[in-house]
Amino acid sequence: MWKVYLLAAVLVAPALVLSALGWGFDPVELRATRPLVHRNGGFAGAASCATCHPDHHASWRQTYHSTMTQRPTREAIAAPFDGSDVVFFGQVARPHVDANGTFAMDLPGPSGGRRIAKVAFTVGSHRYQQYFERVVGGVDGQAQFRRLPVLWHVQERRWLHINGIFLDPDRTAWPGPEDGAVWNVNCIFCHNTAPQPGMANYGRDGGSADMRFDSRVAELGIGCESCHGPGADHVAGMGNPLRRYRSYLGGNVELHVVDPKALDKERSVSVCGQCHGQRLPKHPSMMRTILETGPTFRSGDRLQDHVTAISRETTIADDKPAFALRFWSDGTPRLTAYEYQGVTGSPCYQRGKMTCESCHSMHGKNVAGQMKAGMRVRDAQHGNQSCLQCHAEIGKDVAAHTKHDTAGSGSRCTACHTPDMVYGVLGVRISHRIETPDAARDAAAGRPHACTMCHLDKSLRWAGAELRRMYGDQFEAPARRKDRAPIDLADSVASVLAGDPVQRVVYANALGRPDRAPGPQADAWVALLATLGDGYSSVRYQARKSLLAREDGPGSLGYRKDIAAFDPFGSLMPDRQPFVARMLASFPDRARKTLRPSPGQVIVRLDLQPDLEAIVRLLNLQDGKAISIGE
Amino acid sequence: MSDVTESPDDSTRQTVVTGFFLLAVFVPMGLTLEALHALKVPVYFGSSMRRELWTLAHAHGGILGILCLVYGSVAERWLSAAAGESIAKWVRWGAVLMPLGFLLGGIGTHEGDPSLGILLVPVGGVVLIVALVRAGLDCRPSRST
Repeated sequence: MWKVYLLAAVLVAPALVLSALGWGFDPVELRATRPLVHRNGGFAGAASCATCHPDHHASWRQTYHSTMTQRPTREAIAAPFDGSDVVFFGQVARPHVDANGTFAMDLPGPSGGRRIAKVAFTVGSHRYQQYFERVVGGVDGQAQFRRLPVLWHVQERRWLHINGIFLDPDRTAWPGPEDGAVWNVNCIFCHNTAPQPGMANYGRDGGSADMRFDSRVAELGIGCESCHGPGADHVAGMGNPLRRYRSYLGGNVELHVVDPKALDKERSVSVCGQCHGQRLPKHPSMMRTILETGPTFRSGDRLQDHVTAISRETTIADDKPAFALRFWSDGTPRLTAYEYQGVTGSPCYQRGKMTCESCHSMHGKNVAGQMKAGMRVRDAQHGNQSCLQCHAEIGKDVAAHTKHDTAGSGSRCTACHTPDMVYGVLGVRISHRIETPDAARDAAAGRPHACTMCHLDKSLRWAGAELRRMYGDQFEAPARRKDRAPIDLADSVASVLAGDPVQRVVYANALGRPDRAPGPQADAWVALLATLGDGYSSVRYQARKSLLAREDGPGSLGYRKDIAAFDPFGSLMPDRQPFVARMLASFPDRARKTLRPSPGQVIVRLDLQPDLEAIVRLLNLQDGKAISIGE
Repeated sequence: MSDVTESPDDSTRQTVVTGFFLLAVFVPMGLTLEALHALKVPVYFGSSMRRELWTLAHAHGGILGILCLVYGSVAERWLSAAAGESIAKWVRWGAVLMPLGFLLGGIGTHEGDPSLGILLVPVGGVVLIVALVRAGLDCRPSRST
């Protein structure tokens, strides 16, 4: 009899394992049945991909793309919802966890009272995290999700009002109409996979508050199928091991999935450009489709067959350019989320073979910039590799091309060809339009110039003369500045004080760069101190960062404690002015110990007294146009 | 039993030799894998499939090597000579094929699948199960007294 038991025992474990698969937790099935998730259009969800592609799934999971939209769990929430007061413009928000464990905010109400908003999900996890509430309305009870007015800045580890994040002029009160952006018609498109806004009353809504949605996405966050296309057919087909091994052995097997590396350059940049390139529907009539069933673009398509990339000349209803302020006046993008326009406007793309994949990888180890190994442009040792992979001949003698010391930033390709002149998410990023520095072009366009973002004490006239001396007569001498400041003035000082908001924020950032060229620095210090009084909190924030960077570098003037205590966000102009005046007044005493006066100074006298009249003259040149970033 | 059939002593000796051979190969393999861990070798860490297969090769090679030694020690005492001889062959083949399959399966892997060398594993597994079942059925407790 024991022999029968022995034979039976052989079957116990296989039977147990097979039957156990039918019970309990199925991660793929579970995700598909959660609220907001759809499986329409052949989308399968990222959990399906993990089965066969564990390493790619794991490397994607580490990226900020994967956590772009999250449900409000303790792991996902980056901010301390501890009930503390968060004060902006005299109003208080209290992020807290309620008795049921729900993340919520106690906020100013529309008519002077208070209201409680429960967090439905989060958007963002890298630089800052925004919170959205579910607002139910209408007879059908369909909902929309609206952004809450305060957000958590991950790197600064502090709460901010959204007014401080976007490049908006200071407000004096909130809530305002722009605080509660509707997720279903904005963020859903680029912060999720296969979005379907499900607008229920298109053409019958009475404005954003009246819009009703039954929104769905294939994946919260930017998942595998955003770049590889719908995966259900691929999952079904490749579940068969014989098909898989036939594919591995070179057999002709239809994969039903897109490999962005195998696409031609137009289709390759379209994969990233579907989000990293602000765009409009190709025809206005497509708006209804987009708001009801979602974008028609799928990875592997040409983006221009579905949408029109926004340019400086793009119009909407009337014939006036609607987005001109988002570009420098020569058409170069100056805000983030226009990288597609930058890349496709570059000669390396137009005449070469450059795509986003040339430098970036979704599955590399660098999750912050998604740079491929060895392609990190800020890496002092390997920073040129992105360009040298094609321009190898320059790499043989870098100094002959750059006319700069190879150890310095003047020999870094990106410093000259894609300088830091794009604003977005509370920072200044590199341009994605690869071009040659040209002082005359930049002066006329009122845009930052690569040479003077490093040679901070030099004018555009100087830059033009140096370019002619080093590279020949194709470079013309700049005649005048777009902001009407004198052309002989140090470009950084003129731009940070007299430029438009994007110009100011770009140069406020440049004035703090640690790899700046040597030269007199008194003007730079005073320009930054004066910029602490700017009317845009984003500009003040960059000025403060640059001042702290200077304090932490050689030649500290002892401002660190005061500047660190200065809050660039949420304070009102009357509170800031005395502080800025005090900082400028103490400059001569602080500077005498460290800085040498220079005859070339323009906003600091030879006795190191700030020249307030010269500063005010430049401030009066500021363009009062408000910039609104399109996020 | 024919003349060419190996004697029980030969069979036992070959099984023990196989056991030591397996241990000689797969115990150092464990040290090698630990060294790859210590040195954080990217080509090893880059593929979770390869790591898993080679870990399995190391574990199976070690355990099945010990099984061969144990079998060689107890077979004569617990099994009939004819059956013990035949079963020993199956044990040796199963013990070699399984870790070898895991090892080869980890060479030239694809992200979600091992290479075709993995086919040796189910073959070895079946051979081993058959051997162990046969041994169980032929086991004669009375011989031990």
